[in-house]
Amino acid sequence: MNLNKLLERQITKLLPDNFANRPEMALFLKTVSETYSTFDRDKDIAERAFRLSDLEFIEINSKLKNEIYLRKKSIDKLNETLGLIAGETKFLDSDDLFSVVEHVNLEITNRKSTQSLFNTLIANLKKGILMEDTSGKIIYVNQIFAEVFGIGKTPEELAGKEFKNLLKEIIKHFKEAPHIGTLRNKSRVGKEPVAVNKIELKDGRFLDGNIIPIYFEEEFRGYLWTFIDITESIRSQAALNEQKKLTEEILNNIPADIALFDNKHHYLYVNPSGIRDAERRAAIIGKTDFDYFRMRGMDDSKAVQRRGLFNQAVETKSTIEWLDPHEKADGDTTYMLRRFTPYFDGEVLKYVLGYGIDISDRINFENKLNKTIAEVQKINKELEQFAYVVSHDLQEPLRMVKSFIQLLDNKIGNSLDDTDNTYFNFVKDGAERMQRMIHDLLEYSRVSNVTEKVGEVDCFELVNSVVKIFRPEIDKIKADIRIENLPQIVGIKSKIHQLFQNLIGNAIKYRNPQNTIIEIGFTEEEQFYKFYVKDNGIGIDPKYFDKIFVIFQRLHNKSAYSGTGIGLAICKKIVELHGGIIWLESKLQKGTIFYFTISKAGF
Amino acid sequence: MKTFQIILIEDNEGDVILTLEAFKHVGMKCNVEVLTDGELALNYLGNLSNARGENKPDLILLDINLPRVNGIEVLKNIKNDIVLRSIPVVVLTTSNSHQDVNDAYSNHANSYMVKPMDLFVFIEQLKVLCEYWFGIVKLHRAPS
Repeated sequence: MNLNKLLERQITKLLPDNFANRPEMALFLKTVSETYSTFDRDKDIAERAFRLSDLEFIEINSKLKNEIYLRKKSIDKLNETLGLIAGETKFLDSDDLFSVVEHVNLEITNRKSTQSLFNTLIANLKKGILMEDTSGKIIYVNQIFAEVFGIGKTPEELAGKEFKNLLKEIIKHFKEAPHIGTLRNKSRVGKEPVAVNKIELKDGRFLDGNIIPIYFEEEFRGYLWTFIDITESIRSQAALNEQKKLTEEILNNIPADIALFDNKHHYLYVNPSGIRDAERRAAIIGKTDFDYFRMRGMDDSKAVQRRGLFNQAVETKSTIEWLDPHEKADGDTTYMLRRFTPYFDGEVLKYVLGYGIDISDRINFENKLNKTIAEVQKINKELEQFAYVVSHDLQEPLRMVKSFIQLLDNKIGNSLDDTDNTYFNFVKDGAERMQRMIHDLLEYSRVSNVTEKVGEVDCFELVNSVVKIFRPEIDKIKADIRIENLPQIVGIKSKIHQLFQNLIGNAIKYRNPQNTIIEIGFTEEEQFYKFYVKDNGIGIDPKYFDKIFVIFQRLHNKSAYSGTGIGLAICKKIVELHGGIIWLESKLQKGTIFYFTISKAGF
Repeated sequence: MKTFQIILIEDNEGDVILTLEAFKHVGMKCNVEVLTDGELALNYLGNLSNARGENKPDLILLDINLPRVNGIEVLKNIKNDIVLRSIPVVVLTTSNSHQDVNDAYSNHANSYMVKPMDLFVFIEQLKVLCEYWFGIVKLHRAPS
């Protein structure tokens, strides 16, 4: 008979979990086992003890107790006798005598420790136990039993008392008292324990109870009553159930596919969003994506793809994300953004979480946006073409108008009266303006019509050559032009030239008449160069910041400042052509800074 | 002073008037024969060819955009004709497209001139043109 096993069985049955798992317990088991092994004579009793119920356990324990008591007495007697012998006859060698005494003492010690171990065992049971004999007297009761029912007496005080009286006390605590007599009889007649589960107490606690009939050598000896407080486990179970329900609720209703796979890509779980059909959802557990797609009558291609991604996630120990398009029956495409996230316990892959959300709206929106952008670009291109054709074709009739005005002026100009002359001047002026506008429109439409090659542009050299164009005027107004050491950029030289020419031209045009300072500089950023053209001129009202880049948008009366309002529109197009943006800061009467960026990446 | 014979092939009435007006200011005696479409031009030039160069003009001013037969066709006809090919042909047009310029020179046009916006500039240019062709350069002469 393996004593360890027997003990283990007892322990797991009776001890609190945390007690059973402790290393001290293993040591304890070993000790007990060894102790018993040494007592060959008691082996039978011990074996029986473990085979029998809790009660027998105790009974044997008390038998042992008794035996130990008797033995102790007999040893005392033996000592006494030996003493007498030693004193009177020297029949035995004193050394012999000593070893006999020692042996006996050792035996007693061993037995005592065994006994105390059993007592400890019972005392630490989380079950309250009480043993009643055939006459209804309490033979044994443990501390827990007294505590469960709030009995203010020690086990020692209770021992030997009538169980009937104690039972009356106990029943008062029950919300609904079970018929004790019936249960008791049932267990005795059936010769087996009767369980009374989940007895609710008035104070809200719950108990599990057992009535165990005690038979020893086929003879009825009494009952063993056990009660255990299960309130906490019921509560934690309820809380656990609540939490489980909530989690399930979430998983069932979340608009995302969620699946859990084992380390071999078998489904452990999938939520209803992942697989809508309940039958399929149940059938897939333990299976793979290969099974899943075959279930849906599809080929293996998607499963192969997913297996690859699964392995990738596992190998890289990181989340893998991919876009999974799926064409629906109605021809629309659903776009799922899916992820595999592996979970490791140290180096061991525990499971992989599959996650998927429908991002069709976003993708469709993006597609729509791209389509719109393409359309806008096409329309812009067409508009440019249109502007070019119109302005080109308009030149012909305009030339007629202009030329014949000149011809008329030549012929009859001298004979006109003042009113006629005023009218005639309007005609001339209108034609002049129209010519400029057509010219500018042509220029504007030509900005993105690039025939020149992209190349290195030395901005310092370029800006200096631009300033040369304005030199006569600069000298006349004594303007202070400050040029930083500008960088080399990649771009279209003639366009960059035009850009600086327009901006510097504007700065001169809208200058501060007293003291004109114009600064041209730049800062270098990671992706681009940021240039600026700064003046201390008349400034621009912030409410016009957006308008000024629009073609033919003028802020000033043409008599104050000439021009058609194309310069900045052209600047904007040139900057955009070079992958940049243009903007400004300005304060009225303080000055304006135009900033623009030129991408380093080219275009 | 010699009177120079000029053929103007131009369909736009306004341009015809402007050109004739401009010729008044070039300071040379010019007789301008106006032909207002490509077909008329081809007929007129065909007759000239048949007459073996009698009354051959000193200069042809040719517009490109002409009704019926366009200017380039007319130019091809002139330059393929053994009698007419020696007459200098100046293309005078509003088009400044590369295509038209290249087509003109590929077909042996002698000059290509874009009509300017300004009448006075036009007069000035026409003056220079006449001085060049009638004064500076030596032109082909029929054997006498």
